Amino acid sequence: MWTYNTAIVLIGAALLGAQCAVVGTFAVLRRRALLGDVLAHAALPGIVLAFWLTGNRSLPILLTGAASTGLIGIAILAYLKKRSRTREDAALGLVLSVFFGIGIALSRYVQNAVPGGGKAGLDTFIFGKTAGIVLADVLGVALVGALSLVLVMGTFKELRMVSFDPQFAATQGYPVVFLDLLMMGLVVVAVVVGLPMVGIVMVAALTILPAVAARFWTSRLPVLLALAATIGMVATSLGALWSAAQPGWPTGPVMILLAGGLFVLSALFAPHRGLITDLRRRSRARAALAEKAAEELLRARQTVTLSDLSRLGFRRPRQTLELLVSRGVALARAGTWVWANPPAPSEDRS
Amino acid sequence: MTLAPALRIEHLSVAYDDRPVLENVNLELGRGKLIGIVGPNGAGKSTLLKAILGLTPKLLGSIELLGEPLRGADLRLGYVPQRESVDWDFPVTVAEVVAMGTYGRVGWFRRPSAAERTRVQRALDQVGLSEYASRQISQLSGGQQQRTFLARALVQDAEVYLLDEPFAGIDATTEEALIEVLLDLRAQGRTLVAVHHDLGTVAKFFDEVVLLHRHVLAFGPPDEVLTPTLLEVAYSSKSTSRSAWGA
Repeated sequence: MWTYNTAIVLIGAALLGAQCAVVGTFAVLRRRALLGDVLAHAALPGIVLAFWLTGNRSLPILLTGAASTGLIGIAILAYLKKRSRTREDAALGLVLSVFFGIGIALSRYVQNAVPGGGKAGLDTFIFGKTAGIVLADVLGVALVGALSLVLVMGTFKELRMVSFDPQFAATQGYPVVFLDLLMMGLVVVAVVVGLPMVGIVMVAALTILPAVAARFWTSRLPVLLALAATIGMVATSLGALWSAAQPGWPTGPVMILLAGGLFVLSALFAPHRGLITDLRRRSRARAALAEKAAEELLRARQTVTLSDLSRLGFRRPRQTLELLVSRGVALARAGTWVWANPPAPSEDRS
Repeated sequence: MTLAPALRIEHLSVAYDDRPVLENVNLELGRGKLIGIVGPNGAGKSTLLKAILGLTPKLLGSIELLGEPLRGADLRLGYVPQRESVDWDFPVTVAEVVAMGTYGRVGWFRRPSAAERTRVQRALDQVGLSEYASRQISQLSGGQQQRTFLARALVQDAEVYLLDEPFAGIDATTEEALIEVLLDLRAQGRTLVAVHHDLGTVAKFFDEVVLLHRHVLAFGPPDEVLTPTLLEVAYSSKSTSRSAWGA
C-alpha cells in the first residue's frame, strides 16, 4: 500500500490535521467552536453553484464557491444574533441546517438535470474522499497551512489576549473586531481546505476535537497548540492510511473516529484534569470528610451502630468505622462500635 | 490656571436596544480622588465605566479625559473589570495576564521588553502575588483573581483607573492589598473611580460618591450623598422594578 499516491495523501492529511487543530484551539478558547460547523454546512450550496455556473470541477473553483456561501451563512448568523431575538444556539442550528438543505437539494438537481452533473463527484464532499488527492492539492494545503501557522505565531500575543479578555484588549487599543475576523478567517480557510478530504459533515470536528482533547493534558497555551496539532495530525494521517488500505471506508468519518478516540482517552486518563483523577480526588475527599464526621459522632455518642451511620447518609459506614478502628479511635464490639477513648494527640507522641 | 478634571462627562446617554440605561449624565471628576459609584442594580454603574472606556457605544454625549476629548482607547485610562467577566479556566499564567497590561505600549507583533517584565514583577509584588507568577489562573482564589486584574491595571501606569466592583466577594488580605494600592495611587495624584455595592463601607473607602440611577442623583462627599432622603429616591423609586441588592 506504500505507493507514491499514499505518501502524498498522508502528507496532505497530516498538514490539514495540524492546521485545523491550531486555528481550532483559538476558536474553542474564544467560545466559537461551532463556527466551523456552520461554515462547512453552509459551504455545500456554494460548491454546487460553482460547478453549475462554471461547468468546471477543479478544486480551486469549487472551494471558492464553498467559501462564498460559507461566509454568507456566517454573516446571516451574525445578523440574527445581533438584530433578531433568536438565541445564538438556535440561530446556529437554523443557519446550518437550512444551508445544508439548500445544498443537498441543489446538488440533486444538478446531478440529475445538468449535463456532466452526475459525474462531478459533488456527493464526495459530504463525507470526504482522499483517493482523488494529487500533488497539486497537497502543495495547496501545505501553502495555506504554512501561511496560517505564520499568522498564528505572529499574532499569538494578540490572539491570546482577545480570546481571554476581548474588552481589555479593546482598552489596550487593539481592534477586537479585526482580530476576531482574523481568527474567523483562519477557521474559514482551514475548513474550506479540509472539505474535499474530510467532508462537510465532519471537517469542523477537526477544529474542535484536538483542542478539547489536548486541553486535558496541559494548561500552557503553547504546549496546548503543539499537542492539539499532534493529535490532529495523528488522527488525519492514520485516517488517510486506513482509507487507503480499506477503500470502502469513508475518510472523514474514520479521521473523526480516531480523533474522538483520542479525546475519550484524554478525558479518561489525563492526569489532573482527567475523569479518573477527578473521581479519585472526589472520593478521597469524601472519605476523609466521612471519617472525620464519624469520629466526631462517636466521640459525642460513645457508641454507634452501622444503621446510625446509614441513617445519616454515610455511604460506606463499615469501611469508615474500620478506618477508625485501625487508627485506634474506635473499638468493634458485636455489631456496635464504641469510642476507644484514645489519648488526645500531643506534640511528644511522635 | 486650574488643571482640567480627570474626567468630564457631558450629556452622556446610553441605551441597549430600546432600553435607556444612562440618561443625560453630567459629571466632573477631580484629579487625585477616590470616587465611588453607588446605586441599585441596573442603575447603569458598569455601563457608565464601559461607556467611558468606549466598550459600550454612546447614544449622545462627550467625554473628556484630562482636558482632551476621548477618542478610542486611551492608555491613560486603566480598567479593572468584574472578575466574572472572563473564563478563569483559560490556559494562561498569572504573569501572562498581568503582562497584558503592557500590551497597549508594546504594540503589535512585539513582545514585552525586559523593562516591561520588571514592571510586571513589581506589580505582582505590590499586590502580593509574586509567588503565584507562574501559576495557572485556574488555581487562584477569588481574591487572588481580583489582585491579578489589579496588577494588570497597575502595569499599564494609567492616570485614571476605572474599577468595576473591586471589593465584591474578596478576602481580608485582598481588601487590605487593594486599599493600600488605591491609596498609593491616589497619593501619586491619580484618580480612581470604583463601582461599589456596599453602602455601609462607602464612607470608609471613598472621598466622593456618585449616586447613580440612570441619572446622577447626587455627587459629593459621602456624608452629603448618602442621606436617607437621597437613598430612598435611588433605591425605592418606582422605576426600579428590580431593586435587588448586589452586583
